[in-house]
Amino acid sequence: MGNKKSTFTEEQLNAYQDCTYFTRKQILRLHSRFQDLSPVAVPGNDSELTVLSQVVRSMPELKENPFRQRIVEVFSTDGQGNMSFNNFLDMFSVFSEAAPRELKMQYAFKIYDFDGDGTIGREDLEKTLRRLTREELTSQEIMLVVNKVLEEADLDDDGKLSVTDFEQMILRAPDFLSTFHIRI
Amino acid sequence: MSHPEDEGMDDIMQNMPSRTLGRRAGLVATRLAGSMRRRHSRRSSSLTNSLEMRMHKMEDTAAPQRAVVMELCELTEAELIRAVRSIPDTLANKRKYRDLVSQRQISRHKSYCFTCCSDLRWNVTKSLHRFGDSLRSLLLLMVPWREALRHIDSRFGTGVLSYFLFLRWLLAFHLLSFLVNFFFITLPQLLAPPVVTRPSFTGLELLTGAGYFTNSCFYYGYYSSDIIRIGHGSSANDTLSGTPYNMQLSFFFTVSAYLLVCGVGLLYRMGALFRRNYVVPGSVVNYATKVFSGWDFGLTDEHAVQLRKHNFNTQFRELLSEAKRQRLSLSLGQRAQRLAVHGAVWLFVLGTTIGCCAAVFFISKATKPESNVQDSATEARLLLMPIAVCSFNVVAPLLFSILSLLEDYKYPRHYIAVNIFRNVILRLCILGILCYYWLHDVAKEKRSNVTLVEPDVTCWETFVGQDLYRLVIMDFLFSLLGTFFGEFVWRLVATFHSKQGQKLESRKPEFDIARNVLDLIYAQTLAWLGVFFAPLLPVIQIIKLVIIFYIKKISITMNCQAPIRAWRASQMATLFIFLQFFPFFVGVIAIVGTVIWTEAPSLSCGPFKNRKRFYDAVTAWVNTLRSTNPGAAWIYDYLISSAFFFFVLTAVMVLVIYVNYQIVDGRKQMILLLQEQIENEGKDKRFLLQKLNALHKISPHPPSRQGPQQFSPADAPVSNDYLPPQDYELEMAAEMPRNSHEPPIEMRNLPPRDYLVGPTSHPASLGSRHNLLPEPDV
Repeated sequence: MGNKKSTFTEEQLNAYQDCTYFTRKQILRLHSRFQDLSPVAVPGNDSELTVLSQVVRSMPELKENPFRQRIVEVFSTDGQGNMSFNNFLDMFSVFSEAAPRELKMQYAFKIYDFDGDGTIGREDLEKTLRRLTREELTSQEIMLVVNKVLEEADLDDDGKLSVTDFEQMILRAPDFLSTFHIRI
Repeated sequence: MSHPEDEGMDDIMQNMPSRTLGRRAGLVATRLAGSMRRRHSRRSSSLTNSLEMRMHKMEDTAAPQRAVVMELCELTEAELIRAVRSIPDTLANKRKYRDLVSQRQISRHKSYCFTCCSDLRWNVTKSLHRFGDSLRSLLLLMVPWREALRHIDSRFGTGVLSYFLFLRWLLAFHLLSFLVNFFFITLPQLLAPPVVTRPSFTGLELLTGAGYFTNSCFYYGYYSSDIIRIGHGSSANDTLSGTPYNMQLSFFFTVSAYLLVCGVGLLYRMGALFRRNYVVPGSVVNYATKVFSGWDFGLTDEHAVQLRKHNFNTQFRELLSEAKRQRLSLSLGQRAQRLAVHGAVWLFVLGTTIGCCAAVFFISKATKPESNVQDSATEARLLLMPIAVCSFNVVAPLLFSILSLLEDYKYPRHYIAVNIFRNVILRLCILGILCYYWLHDVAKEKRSNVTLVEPDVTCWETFVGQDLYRLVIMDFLFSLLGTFFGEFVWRLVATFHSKQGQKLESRKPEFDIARNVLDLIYAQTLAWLGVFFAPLLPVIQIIKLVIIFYIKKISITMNCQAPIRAWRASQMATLFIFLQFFPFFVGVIAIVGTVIWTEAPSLSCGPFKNRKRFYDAVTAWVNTLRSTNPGAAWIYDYLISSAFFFFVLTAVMVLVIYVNYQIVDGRKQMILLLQEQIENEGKDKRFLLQKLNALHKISPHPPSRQGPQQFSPADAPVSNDYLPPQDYELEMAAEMPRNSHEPPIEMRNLPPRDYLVGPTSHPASLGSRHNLLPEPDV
């Protein structure tokens, strides 16, 4: 107990509090969760303790999530999913209840953009659908649904969803705030 | 739409400003500028526009960050924290921004104030924020049941969670009511207790609330006189010592203040939910919403996740088949048949409701005790009415939902909404008939100048309070029984009867969220009605809610399966809060208002026994105020009790609503027009890219790939087919889709496009089409 308190200085805790949506107690609790995942020092990463991608993905909050691979990739600095404590805190701060809709929209877009090209194209939509439905839809049905999604949400009709298209669509989905939320 | 001619243009499209900006840190600055522009509308847009223009011209990543820091420096402390938190960048970068900004702000403060004052002010603001944060974390700690709710959320999703959150929110109302009533009404009376006689305690009192409890501090009748003396005055001779405490006024003001706070709380929550869940009007986005906001990220239980994935599958198939089915229109005969079925079911529903109300009325009249007869048989008969009410509340909705299976609804959500509506009508009618019975039959004590008619029920307020207590207790018992039979026994039966190969999980009962939330709202209404007649009823409600929370939690974890359908939590939450406010709360206000304004208090008990009406206490007090404080009396005479003032107030409110409605209407039209414009811009862009591609194929030299395209007509090599720049532009202009000149058909009915901004409004500015080409760096 005393060990954990001495890990952070007052200034560091203030900085974390100012930059995330967590209180002190929650930050310390998250730190202990992070320690439980046995972080290792990765060379060449400013000697910051990092948790490997598969360990993060096996956390109970993320284990059953169909998008866990993309989530850890989006929030990690190396893009592979290996997370430092900063990344860890950032991830759960964005998923917390207090985070505003605009911030969540940004990250949701990055998560659903599987190939990282700045737009959600057909392949991204297909992959999303496959993960959502446990591979039960036929290819033809998937194509129909992808067409419908593009028809509804693609405003400038270029066959892909840009950030603005995505934002416009999320503004019409009031459930987004309550579903894009992980409790920790 | 797939565009096969787009394939050769991917490299061009990748380098367009709207795409490359997203990949640089410049995204941070523009997003920040955009979100801050929405929040601080008073901030000049020129600052943010210049910021964005600078973004377009910058190559390195440091400059956008400097711009962000400069933008952040303009903000105050609270806004700064909010802005820093909402930057979509890594935590390390956010900390860097924050440190840079605080350094700058410290240096700026130092530069133009006295050094010690500025330091002090800075420290004071910082420590205030720290205090605010620690207060917030303390409040979070005081909120109960967080672990339990997290467990429910992870296993059952947001729909079931919303029920428990609602229960916890209602608990706050009861706690407030208990505190207010106890400290302002009960405590003073307990300090100067009246002399009462009480019959002996038999076990029946816990159910009926009569007998031993009749003259206890639980009910209205205990509170004896209008002005009580706290302190020494306990004997009859000593009527003038001790602190005077006006019981009548305290009753009146406590009840009004509590109901006012409840009303304000409900309105606030309604406003917050409405604001959060308001859907911007526009085209329907069923599929997209399902794909992108359908998955509940909080679900962590393995089985629930599998079930939800399977449900997504079903939903998509349903949507696809619905799209096909909508094209078939029904024949006249089929439509008539559907209407006939609907009409028949509605008739049955209304008939059942009227029958239940009549039954409740006659049972209440039959079991009303004769004057001064108090034996346990009469008392036990009093329980018949609450049992009847609760049985009707349980059986009738089941009947309604079975019947509505016969009807054919277009969407499942119509089915849920209609069932909720019928349930609400039933409960409202039963409550209404009970209130009528109380106000007309029970409170029958009429004064005449010559003789005082002995009423059937002495102290009718206590009797009404007891009736409410009985209703609350019976409601509690019935909900326990309902949980037991509806969930526990069902699961036992399902376990017993499960066939081989059929999963047990799918036969377990499902938690009916709508019915349970309505139960909570109904119980809350009873508590509100009882706030005047039984001041300590909130205690019972608090105990009841806590027990129900634990029972439901245990029952759901043991007996129920994860919900099959994804519950549209936001829409349902808005619907329920609206229901709670509009019929139930307003009804309570109406009833309590009627009691206070028109009914005559009992002669023999309670603090109002020397008054003709409850409200006379306030008028008498205002009369005494006339001599001491004429200002307050003037306010009362001309503002509160004058109809003209309220008329003016209503007229002003209606005007404000009308103006806001017109603004919203105008904005809806604006949104439609802007969407039209975006589509047209997209078509223009694609057209231009196709032309570029065609030119690419003509000229053999590929464009350079470093940085943004250095593409200008001057770069293309000379060839026989190559058109000189001016003709090229003219040719493009000649072939441009004429969407900026002729408005599409549906736009012709709209008001003139004077307010359309952008290049499409001006035919002469076709030359500005150049903006669509990637700009060379200047």
